[in-house]
Amino acid sequence: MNRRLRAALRDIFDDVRARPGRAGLSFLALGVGMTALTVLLAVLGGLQERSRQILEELGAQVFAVTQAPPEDSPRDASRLRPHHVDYLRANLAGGAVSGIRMYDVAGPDERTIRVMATDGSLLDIRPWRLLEGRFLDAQDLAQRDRVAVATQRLSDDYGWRVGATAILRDTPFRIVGILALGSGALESETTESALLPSERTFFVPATLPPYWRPSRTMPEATLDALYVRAPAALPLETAVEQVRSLLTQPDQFVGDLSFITPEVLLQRLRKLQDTIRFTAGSIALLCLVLGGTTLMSLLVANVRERVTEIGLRRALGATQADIAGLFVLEAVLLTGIAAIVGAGGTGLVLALARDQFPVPLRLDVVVLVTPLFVATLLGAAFSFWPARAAARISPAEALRNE
Amino acid sequence: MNAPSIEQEPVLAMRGVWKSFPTPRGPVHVLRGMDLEIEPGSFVVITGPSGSGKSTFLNLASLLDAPTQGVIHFAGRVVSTLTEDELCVVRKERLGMVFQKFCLLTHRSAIENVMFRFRYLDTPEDEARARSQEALDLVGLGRQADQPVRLMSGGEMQRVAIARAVARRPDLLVADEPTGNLDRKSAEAVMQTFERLHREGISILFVTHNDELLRYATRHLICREGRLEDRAS
Ligand SMILES: Nc1ncnc2c1ncn2[C@@H]1O[C@H](COP(=O)(O)OP(=O)(O)OP(=O)(O)O)[C@@H](O)[C@H]1O
Ligand SMILES: [Mg+2]
Repeated sequence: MNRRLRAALRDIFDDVRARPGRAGLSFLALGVGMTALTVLLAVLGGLQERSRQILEELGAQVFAVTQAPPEDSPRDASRLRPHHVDYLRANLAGGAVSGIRMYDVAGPDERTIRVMATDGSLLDIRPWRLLEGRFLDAQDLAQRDRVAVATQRLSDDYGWRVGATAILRDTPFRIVGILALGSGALESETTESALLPSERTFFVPATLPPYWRPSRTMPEATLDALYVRAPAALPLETAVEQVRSLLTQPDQFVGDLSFITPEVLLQRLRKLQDTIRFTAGSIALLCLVLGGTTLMSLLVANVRERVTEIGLRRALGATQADIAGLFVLEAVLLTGIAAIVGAGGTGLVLALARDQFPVPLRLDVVVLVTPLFVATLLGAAFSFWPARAAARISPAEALRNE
Repeated sequence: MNAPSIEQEPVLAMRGVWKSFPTPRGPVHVLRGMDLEIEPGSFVVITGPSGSGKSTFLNLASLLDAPTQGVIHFAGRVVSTLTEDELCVVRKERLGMVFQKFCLLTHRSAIENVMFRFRYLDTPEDEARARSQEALDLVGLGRQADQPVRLMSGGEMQRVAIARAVARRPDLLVADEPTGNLDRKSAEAVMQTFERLHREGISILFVTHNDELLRYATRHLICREGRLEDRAS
């Protein structure tokens, strides 16, 4: 068996050596096709993974309500305000609501820190993970304690551990918890700052006066955004509609609202996915069909040129299956190597250039093995007819003198 | 197996063999009721006009083609009823063939070409190599075993092809105009090789247009009107 395989490989090697141009051409076309296929799989897989991450990071059933900045809506009466949080909580049974207000403040080293004034229910909505300590609680808010929860990055940058004191704008805060944020998937898909507390965020009770403000006046009692987790039993769209109608009741006076649902965030991603599927997909398909047909024409020409050799093989005892196998094996080997080189090389390049790539990439066994599988199938499919033709050549006629 | 007899049975026998080819203008009957026996150890030379059916006959004798009608015995066994795959086994185990157009693998050396005889057999590589070297020695090319065949002369190439045909000792060596593409001198060398194989006891069936070669024959057949006739030599 082993000896037979070696002999077959030798036969194929000889044939490729005898017709390097033809073999090279179909190899090239197949290799390009495999490259395109690998890129397609890697990018689509990456985008899918990112969609999953976005859903995960936003949280299940979660959406945000934001409002255009006041410059655009001069009617101050129509701003989102803390009482809207209570109003929604009262009217959305089984859900969770939290309001936030954000300030950008210079940190100890003059780099910006984002201060997010909020309450404890934020952590019920956004699926962030506490690494240490606790999040803000009702007591903090009620007592207006100068406590804060820092992100891991801030903790690392300034040594703000649980129990330590952080000085922000000359005001000391006791750190009570360290929070891990997500992977940044949300951040890369939206510019909606309300959705993305930066890596350097400092959470403080919403009831504190804005010590970080130069003027240290009381905060304007407005919110930058609301987070809502819809009740589990309620479809997200229904919950969005409910909140919308609650907030636009005549007695509430809230205008210029945007509702940011996962759907909205994923839209751009879906569009990208479709575009890539279409462009890279048609390139891959084109190259594979091109590669397949050049392979087929290579094999057809080979069969025609090798009639005498086929006759010789038959005279030396090769069966029809042996002859067919020769061509199928040659085709599968050629496509297989093209796949390994194309997909493997592409995978390597993508892995090295991953950071420079504008879209997320998925690089795993599936992405690398699928082209090999497709190649084998392609080789077998496109060699079927030539191999059959070769097997059907009558040895007597193949060996006739011209 | 059949009981071996001292009066050995023919290596090849044909009874009432017809071979017809379909053509647009109806079937052409090339062989018409051929009866023949080839004794082991004989050197049979077949001559005859072009188109008389010599090659057609050889294709049947070497089991590359099946008769339209009639029975063929090969080495004591009826082969005209065998399936395609069974014929392949008989071919690779018992037949040696030499062709006018050499049919060598031009990218390989002489010994690799001879070893190709074992491509579809299960002979271990070492044994195949040893037997191939012996066969090359026998045809007088033992020293050129590693030379690529494309650098050889026509006569040498044909002797490599002969070595390939006999590297596994065949019951019958079939050759269709093996000197047809060779000059006189090369043809002579090739004929001497056949002569040597004949002395080694190999049965040979040989088609030629060259009457000069008849002197090597132990039996001369003329192909005429779809039949083979004996001609005392
Ligand atoms: N496959 C085929 N289909 C139709 N006719 C065929 C076929 N093979 C052979 N013939 C015909 O059979 C006849 C005998 O052919 P064959 O090749 O046996 O002659 P030959 O004696 O070997 O001739 P030459 O000396 O020229 O080689 C020819 O007329 C040829 O055209
Ligand atoms: Mg002929």
